[in-house]
Amino acid sequence: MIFTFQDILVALAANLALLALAVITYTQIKTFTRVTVIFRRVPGRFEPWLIGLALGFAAVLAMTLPLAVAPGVFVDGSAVPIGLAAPMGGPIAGVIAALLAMVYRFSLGGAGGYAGMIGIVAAAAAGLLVHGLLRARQKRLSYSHLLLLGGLLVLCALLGMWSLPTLELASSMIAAALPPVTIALPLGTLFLGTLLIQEQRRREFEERVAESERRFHTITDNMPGVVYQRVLTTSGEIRYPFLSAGLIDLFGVSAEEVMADSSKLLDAVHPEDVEGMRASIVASARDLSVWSHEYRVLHKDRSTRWLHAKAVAHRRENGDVVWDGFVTDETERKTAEMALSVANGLLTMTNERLAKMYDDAHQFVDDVAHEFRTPLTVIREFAAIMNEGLVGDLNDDQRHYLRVICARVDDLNGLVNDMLDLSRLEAGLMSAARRECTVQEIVERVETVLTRRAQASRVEFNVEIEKDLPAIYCDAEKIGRVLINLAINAFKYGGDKGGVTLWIRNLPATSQIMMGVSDNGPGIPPDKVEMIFERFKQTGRLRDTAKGFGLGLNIVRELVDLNLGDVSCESSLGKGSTFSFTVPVFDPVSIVSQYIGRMARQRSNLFFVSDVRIDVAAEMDEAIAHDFDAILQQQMQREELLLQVCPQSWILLTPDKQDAEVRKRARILHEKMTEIYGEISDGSPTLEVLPMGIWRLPGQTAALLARFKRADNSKRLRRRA
Amino acid sequence: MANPLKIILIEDDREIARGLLVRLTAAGHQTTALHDGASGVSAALASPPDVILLDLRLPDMDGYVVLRQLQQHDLTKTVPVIIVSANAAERAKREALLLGAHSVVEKPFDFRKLMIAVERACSAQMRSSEAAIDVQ
Repeated sequence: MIFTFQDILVALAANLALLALAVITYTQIKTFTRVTVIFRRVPGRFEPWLIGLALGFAAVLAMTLPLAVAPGVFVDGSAVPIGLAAPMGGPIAGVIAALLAMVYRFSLGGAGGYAGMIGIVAAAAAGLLVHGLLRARQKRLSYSHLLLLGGLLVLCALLGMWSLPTLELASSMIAAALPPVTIALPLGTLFLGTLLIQEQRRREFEERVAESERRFHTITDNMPGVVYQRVLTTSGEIRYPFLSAGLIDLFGVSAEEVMADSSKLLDAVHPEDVEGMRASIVASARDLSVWSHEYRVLHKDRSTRWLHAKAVAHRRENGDVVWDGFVTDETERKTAEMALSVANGLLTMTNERLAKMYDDAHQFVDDVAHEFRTPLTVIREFAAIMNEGLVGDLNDDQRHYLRVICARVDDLNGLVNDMLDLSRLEAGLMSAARRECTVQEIVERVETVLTRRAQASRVEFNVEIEKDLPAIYCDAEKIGRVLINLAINAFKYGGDKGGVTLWIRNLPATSQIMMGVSDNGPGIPPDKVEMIFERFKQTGRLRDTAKGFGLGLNIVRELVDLNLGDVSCESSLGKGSTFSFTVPVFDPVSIVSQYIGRMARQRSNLFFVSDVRIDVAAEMDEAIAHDFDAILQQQMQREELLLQVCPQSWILLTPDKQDAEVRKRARILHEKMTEIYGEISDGSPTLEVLPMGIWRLPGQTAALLARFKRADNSKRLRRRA
Repeated sequence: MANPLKIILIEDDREIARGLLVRLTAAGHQTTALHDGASGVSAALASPPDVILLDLRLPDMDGYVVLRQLQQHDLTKTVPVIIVSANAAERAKREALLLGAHSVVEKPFDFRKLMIAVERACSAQMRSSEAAIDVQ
């Protein structure tokens, strides 16, 4: 019995078709069983067993329809499912399929039994080989692998045929069956493998979809708020194909109710907000913009909720507009926001009122001062006119009385100034315009006033000033006020027989000048002196005046302090008192070291001082430089130190600021000064405000001072005439 | 006083104005006193003086406005203006100086110091240079 090539090919094709049917049936059963409860619970680890059994049965099925080449010698397609078992389901599946096929083949027996078994084992081995290859390369089964498997299976079939009992049988078998087998097995593997791969991919895809859907529902049903899809049909109808379970919490209606009847949702919306909501939906549908809307809902629990909805719109091919979005409960935020806005409003009002009160208070002080000064001017003027004999001759007494009037008017005016300063000091508004000046300047400022004042009080008044005093660093007006205050105190308390001396001397050891007023009056008891200064130290409060010394000493202490000096008092009973204070000499290095010393005394810990350089264009003329300095002085904050190191260059020391704050201060200073400088110089100002560094003090005192020594050496300091 | 000067005084307080008028006249200066800003400006324009003494608080306009108007006219823009004011605020002084006032004298003033300011203003004017000196 000789079979032709076609016979074997047709038989194999029929065989493979049967296998295909078996595989399709198997996949259908699998799809079916997956949705049934029992099989869905089958754990994943039984999957290889199932695949092995299924493909094993497929092999058996193939063997039931063999082409018997000789008694007990068959040609069939069973190698294909056996070979595919391992790549599809792993080694276990391969072994099971092979065992099943072997059992069946064994039961068939015949001359080819042994060879058939070898063929089966070889096919299984080929499958395991391909499986191993896939595992090693971590790849999924592909067409090239299937072709490889097909080729291997041809070799396996050859091996099976080779191992037929007789050489004659083997050779005739090979001659007849090898060509069709070589065509059929690779094609069959490709065909069946593809079916199985597609089935596997489809299943994986379904699983992914199912997983994703499950995840979506888990998330949307558990998240606060509502996830939804809304459709606006071309006929203008609104539908909600999807709403997450949270709807019931926010709206008080269930998702199912609204999905069935969308009007239930709109019914829950606050009547005042329905129109706005509709309008915004229509607007979003028109230009397909993101729909973002805030509205209120009247919940079934009678509460009003603030909701915020946001959805992305797109248009379907049929013209329907679809929004996918979410709604969140913003009630808490909204309530807090409203409370905050009310609180804010109140705060703003309070702030405005305080600011106005503050301004009013200052305006009031200025106005009061103005109102005082105007009549004082009149009194002083007319007293002076009479005193000078411009309106008729006077006798000596009359002239004296008029001088007293003038002197007391000056005192009163000094008091007005002191009160003004106190109010500015307490508001933190006053800073001294310290700059290089001469002792002569200050003396000129006060000498005439004090001489006249002494005449009025009939006190002998002397001024003793050391020769060749260096330039000093202070606010001349403020230091003048200090001297006037101290001298007037001496005139008042120094006694009738009194002589009062204003003296100024050099203290080269500490780079300071000392100014003082001595009287030969009754003196102050030591405990009282102690008390006066203790009181300053302890309370430091401006309103707490030392008894019997009025406003005067307080303002003296503050003004001296503003000028980096210290006040001291010496007194012996019966001999007289001396009040004196120090003023720094104009020497940048010693000024800075005194400044740092004062700062350190006020602070217990280390502190920071930043160093800012201010430079203007070199061609600025002296008068403008002077104006510029005056304006710069007014920009100073308390505790800052401004030093003009040469006509066009200043150094500003500013304490307790972080890097960013210093830069901000420099920027604001630059803006302000550029604007003002532009006004006074009529030119395009070239102004630089450069933060140079932050110094940690007192540790880096030496380094900071070294910087000033350099500035001192590199630029010759100008001495103002 | 060496040179008799022509002075315009703009001051709303009539007693202060009278006192100043008496003393300036006694010092030999030809002085005209006006009591509000508008008439002060027109007097200055009608016959530009050597120096103007100007109060900051005036009934019709404040002194800064007067200062600005004087600066706008060619006839008066070179006339030095000395502010005589009871306003103590630093920024008031600064603003006056920025607007071109020659100096600021605070009330109550010492007449001799006021006269020093006047002399300086006029000599500065004659040399047509120099600049602001803040005379207290």
